[in-house]
Amino acid sequence: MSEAAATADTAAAHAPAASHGHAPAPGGNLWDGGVRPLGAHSKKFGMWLFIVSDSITFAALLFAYSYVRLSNVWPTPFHGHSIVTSTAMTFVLLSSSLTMVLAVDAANKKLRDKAVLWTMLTALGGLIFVVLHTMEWLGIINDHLMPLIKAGEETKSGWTMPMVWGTFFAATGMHMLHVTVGVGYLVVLALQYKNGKFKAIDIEVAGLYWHFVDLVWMFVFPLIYLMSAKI
Amino acid sequence: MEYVWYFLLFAVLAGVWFGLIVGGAASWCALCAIVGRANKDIVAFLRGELAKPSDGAHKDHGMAENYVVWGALLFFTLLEVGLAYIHLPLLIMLVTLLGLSLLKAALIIGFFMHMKFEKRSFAISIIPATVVTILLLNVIFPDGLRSNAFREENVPEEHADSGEGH
Repeated sequence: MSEAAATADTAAAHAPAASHGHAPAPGGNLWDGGVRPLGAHSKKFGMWLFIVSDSITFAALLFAYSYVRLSNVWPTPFHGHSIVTSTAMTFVLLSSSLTMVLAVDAANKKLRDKAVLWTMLTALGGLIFVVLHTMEWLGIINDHLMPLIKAGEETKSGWTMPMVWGTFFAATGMHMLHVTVGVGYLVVLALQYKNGKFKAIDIEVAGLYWHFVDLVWMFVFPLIYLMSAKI
Repeated sequence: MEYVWYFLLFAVLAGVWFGLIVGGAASWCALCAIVGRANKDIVAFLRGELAKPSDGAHKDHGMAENYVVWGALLFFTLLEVGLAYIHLPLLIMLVTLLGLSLLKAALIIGFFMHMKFEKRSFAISIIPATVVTILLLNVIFPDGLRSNAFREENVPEEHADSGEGH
């Protein structure tokens, strides 16, 4: 098997590598590079590597938050309104993950228009999430609950701590950045997929990114919001 | 008598530390159990048998499964929010929330991100290294407890009492 064929870049490369019956592919066994030991498209593997590094980044942020929380007296600043908003945001994000699955499914079945529609709906879900989250942020900012505030300073809502809002804005801001980038990614992808520039595998890879953003929120939401809820 | 308290503090710290490690390892095993039949496949991997093509890759699985997963994710989210309304002790709250979140993460990775249907060698290459790296971040927590012991005394009385945000 030639080098090019061994690293075949097509989505259909899950098929047996050779027609030599049961024997390993020409080029040898698992360790000779003649087979596809991971059975995945190179783009997919690349996105997974990005997800691995990004998940460690988010983990570091959440561990840092947990560390300062553990070593300080921590307030519970999120009341009913914040919890309802963030729950709605969670539902929107989860539902946009479902539409992303539908987009990948449609793309794999070569239903191009349907795939474009579902991808755009996913982007819309992300947009709603960003808008809701921005409203949530503005409420906090209007109350002068900022990272650089002096510890113990009085605000409309009583005393505050810089660490609380430093970690809050760092973790949710990093996540919001990912959602915003994701919305742009999905819109560009959907438009170019419509033009025939991208293939089903590209939708699938974008889907991996989108589900990962969803996955991160599944940790940010309980740890930041629900652990500091005062209802 | 003071040394008894030091001993107890040490015991508690060690307990928390090992609890985090063991809990983390247990969650990892749960993740593996949900995402796939890891043990069997590690053996197969060591025997070099994973070169067999399409070990379950793109198995035919319907969309219905994805709707069920979506419903389960919404349900677990509601459950988590419900926990915020009944006031549980902080540690129990933390453990429950993290447990539910890990479950949700496993569902998302397994079904939405398709890991359950990838080749097993792919999952083995990606997941354990990530989980172990993240778990190693636990090393910082004993220091968080230590510094808390110093800082708590520095919190003025009136602040400690009215620490209730908006």
